[in-house]
Amino acid sequence: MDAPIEDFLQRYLACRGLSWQGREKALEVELSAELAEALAWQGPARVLWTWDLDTALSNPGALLFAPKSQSLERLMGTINGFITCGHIPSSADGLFRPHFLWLFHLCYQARESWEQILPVVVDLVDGSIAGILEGDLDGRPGAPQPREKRRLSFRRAYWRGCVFVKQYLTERAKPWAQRAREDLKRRLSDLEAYFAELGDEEKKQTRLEEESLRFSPRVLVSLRGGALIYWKHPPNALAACEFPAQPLPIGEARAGAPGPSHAAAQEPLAHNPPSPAGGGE
Amino acid sequence: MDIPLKTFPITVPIMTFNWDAPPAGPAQEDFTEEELIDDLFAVKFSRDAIKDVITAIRQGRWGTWADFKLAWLAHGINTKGWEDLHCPRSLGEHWRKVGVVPYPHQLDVLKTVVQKMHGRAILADEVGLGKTIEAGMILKEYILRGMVHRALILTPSSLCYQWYSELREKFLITPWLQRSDKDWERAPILIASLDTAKRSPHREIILSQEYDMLIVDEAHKLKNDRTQNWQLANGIKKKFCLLLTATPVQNDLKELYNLITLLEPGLLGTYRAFREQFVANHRTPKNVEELRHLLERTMIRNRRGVEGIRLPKRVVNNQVIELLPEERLLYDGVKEFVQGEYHRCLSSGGNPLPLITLQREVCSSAHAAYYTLAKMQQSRGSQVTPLLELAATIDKGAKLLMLEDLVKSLGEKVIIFTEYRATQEYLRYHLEQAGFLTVGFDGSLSPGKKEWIRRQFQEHADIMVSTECGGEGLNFQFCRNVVNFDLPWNPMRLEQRIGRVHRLGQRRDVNIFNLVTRNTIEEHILYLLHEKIGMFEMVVGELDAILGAADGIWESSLAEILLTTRDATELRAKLDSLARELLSKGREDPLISLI
Repeated sequence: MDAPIEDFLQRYLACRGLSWQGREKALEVELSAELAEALAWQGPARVLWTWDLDTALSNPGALLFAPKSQSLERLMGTINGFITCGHIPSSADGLFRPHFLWLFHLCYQARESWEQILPVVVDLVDGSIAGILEGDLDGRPGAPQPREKRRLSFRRAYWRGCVFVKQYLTERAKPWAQRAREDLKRRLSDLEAYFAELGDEEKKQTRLEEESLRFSPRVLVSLRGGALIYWKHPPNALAACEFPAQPLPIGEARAGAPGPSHAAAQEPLAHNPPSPAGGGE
Repeated sequence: MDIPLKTFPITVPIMTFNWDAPPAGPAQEDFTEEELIDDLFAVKFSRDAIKDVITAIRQGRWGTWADFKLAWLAHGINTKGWEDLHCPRSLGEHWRKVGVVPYPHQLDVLKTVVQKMHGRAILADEVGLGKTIEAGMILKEYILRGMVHRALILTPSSLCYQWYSELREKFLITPWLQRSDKDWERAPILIASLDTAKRSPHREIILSQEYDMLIVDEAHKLKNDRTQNWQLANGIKKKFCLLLTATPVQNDLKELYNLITLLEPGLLGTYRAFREQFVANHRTPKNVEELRHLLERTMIRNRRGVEGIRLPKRVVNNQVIELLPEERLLYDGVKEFVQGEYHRCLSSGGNPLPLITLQREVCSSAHAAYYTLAKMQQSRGSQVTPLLELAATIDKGAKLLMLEDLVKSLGEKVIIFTEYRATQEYLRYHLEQAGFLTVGFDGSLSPGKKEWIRRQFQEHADIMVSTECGGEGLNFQFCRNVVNFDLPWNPMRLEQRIGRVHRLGQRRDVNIFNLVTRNTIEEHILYLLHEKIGMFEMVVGELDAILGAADGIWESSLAEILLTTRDATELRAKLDSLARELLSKGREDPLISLI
C-alpha cells in the first residue's frame, strides 16, 4: 500500500506545483496557504507528509495519509475529480467515438466488509461494454474532432455499466460468497440447535431470519466518479481486472485470487438494466 | 431537649453549560432492491450515484483530466487496506491534537473484536483500563467501514453525558442524547439510559427498531436473565453488540452464561447443557480449559500490571492524628455505648445497623455522629443525651485541622471522600471558610448535575468533597490527590474511590492520603486494609476474588470483630486471621481465576 500512496502524493504535489523533499517513509512538503487551510493545518508551512502510522505517531508535526485517514479525505476534497472529459490521442483515420468510464465502488458485506474500485467503460454509441480499465490512461483533456454523436444517455450508460458489474460479480465473487455462506450456515446451525433445545419455535424462526438477513453476503454498488472519453478505436489499454484479494479469518493462509478471465470480461452484454429505475433517460 | 440540626451555607460557582443541538443524521444512499445472484449473494445499485453525475454535468462541474486521475488514484488507495484498522489512521491526527494516545492493549482489543469476534464481544477489562475508549474505537471502525449507520448505546444515566462528550471529542462521532420517545426512531447514534429504555413506551419502540450496533455499558446489570434489563437487551435487533463490564461474573457462573447468550446464543448451548458440561457448583467451573476456549471467542479481559498496561504509581500517605480531648471523650463514650448496646441488640434479635453506623460516624466527624445521636435520643432518651450535648460542642475536629494544612500544602486539586453527608457539609463549610472553592458530589444528584459538578471541579473549584465513590465510570484524571477523610469498611469502595483518578489517562503519580485517628477503630481498619491485605497495591481482579470469596460476609465479620473485642491484642489477632482466611480463599477462587 505504501508505494501507491507515495506515488499519489508526489503526483498531487507535482500537479499543484508544490515542492517537496523525500524523507524516510515521508515527504517534507512546503504547503501553500490554500492547501494548509483545506487540510485544516495550523502548523508551519514546511510539514512532513507520511503514509506510515509509526512515523506519524513519532512525529507530532506530521500529517498521516493512509486509507480512510482524515488527511487523505481532506486532500481528496481539494481535487475536482468527480467528472471529466478527455480523449485518447490517435493519428489513425476515422472518427473519435464517445465512451463513458464509470468508477464503480463495490462494497462487499457479510460478517466482514471490504471494498473495491471497478473502472468500467461503456460505449456511448452502441451501448456495448468496452471492458474494465486497468493501469494508467494516457488521456488528453477536451473533446476532439471529428467525433461520433453520442446515442446513449448517461443514465442509460450507467445502468448498462451496472448490468456489467452484476455479470462481473456473478463470475468472480462466488468463492467469497460461498465462504461467507458457509460461515453463516455454521452460525445458523448453532442457533437452530440452541433454540430447538429450548423448545422456542417462534423465537427460533425469528432469530434465524434476523441472522440470515443481517449476515447474508451482499454487494452495494455505487459510484466514485466518471469520465467522458473519446477513443478512435476500441481501446488497447483495456484489460480484465483481477478480483481483489478477500479477507480471511485470522490465521488462515491466503488462497490465490481467482485468475482473470479476459474473454468473460469483454463478453457482450446480454441483460437489460437491473431495475426499472435504471431504464429512464 | 431540642437540639436544632446545623446547616451550613455553601457557595457554588455559577457555570453555564452548552448542550449542542442534536446533529442531523447522515444521508442514506438510495439503492435499488436487492437482486439475488445464484442463490449465493445479493447485489444492489445506487440510484443516487447517477443523479449526482447528471447534476454535475448539468452544472458544468467538469474537472481537469489530471484531477480526475488523481481522484481515481485516491479512491483506489482509500478502498485498500481492509486488513488494517481504519480507526487509528482516521483519527491519528485528531488524537494527537486532543492528546489521546491509544494504548497497545486497546488497539489489540479493536483488532480482535473486528477481525475475530465479528463485532460481538464482552469487553471485560479491569476498572480504569479504558473500556469506553475501546468501544468508541470499535464503533468508529464500523462506521468508517460503512457497516454501522445506526447504533444504540445504553448506559447508567449518570454516564450518558460522559459517553456523549467522549464520542464527540475523541472519536468525532456526533451522537444524540435521548430526550424524547421520538429519538429512538430518528437518531443515527443514540445514547440513552438503560433504566429509561426498559420502561414503556420506550421499550416497545426500541424493540421495533433495527440497530446495526448495540453497546451496553456496566453490562453486569444484564447478568440475570429474568430481569427486564436482560430481556430488553436480548430482544433488541442488533448486528453487532458490545457489552462492557469489569465484573462479567461475581457470584455465579450463570451470570457469565447469560451475558454470552446475549451475544452469541447457542455458543454455550442451553443452560442445562452448559451446567452439565461446565458447572461443578455455582462458583466452580469444570472442563475449565474447554470453557476458557469458548469464552475467548466472545470475551476480552485486560488486567492491570501486565506488560504494556502501566499506570502511574500510587503513593500512599497514612496520617495518624491525635483526637482533641473533647473528641476523645466523645469517641470513648460512643464506643462504650455502642459495645453495650450491640450485645443487648444481638441477644434481643434487634437490628445492630444504627449502632455500627454510629461507631463509624464518630470516627468520621462529631458532626456526623451528632445527627445519629439526635435520632437515637428519640428512642433511647437520656441514655444518649450527654453524648449528644458533647457532640454539639465540637466545632473543628483534629482531622479537619490536619486536612486544612494538607490541602494548603498540596496547592493542587483534591478529591476528599467521606461516607457521610453530614461530614461532607461540615467539611465544605469549613474549607470554604478557609478560602477554598469547593463542590459537593453525592449519589442523590441527577446525572446531568453530576456531569455539571464534574466540570465545575475541573474548571473552577479547588476541592471536591464526595460521598459517592463513583463506582460507575465518571473520570477525574485531571486530579491526582485523593483524601480518604474516613475509611469505608468495604475495600471495594476504597478501590473505587481511588479508581476515579488512578486510571488510564492519569499521567502523574497518584497521592492517596488516609486520615485516621489514633487508638480508634479506624486505625484497625487501616491496619487490616493496608498492612494485612495490601489493598493499595492490589489489582482489582485480586480484590474481586477476595470479596467474591468473602461472599458478602466481609462487613458483618468485621463489625462482629470490631464491636465485640475489647482487648487490643486479641483484636489484632482476629483481624490477622480474617485477612489470612480471605487472602487464601481469594487466591484459590475458581470463578475469578476462570476469567
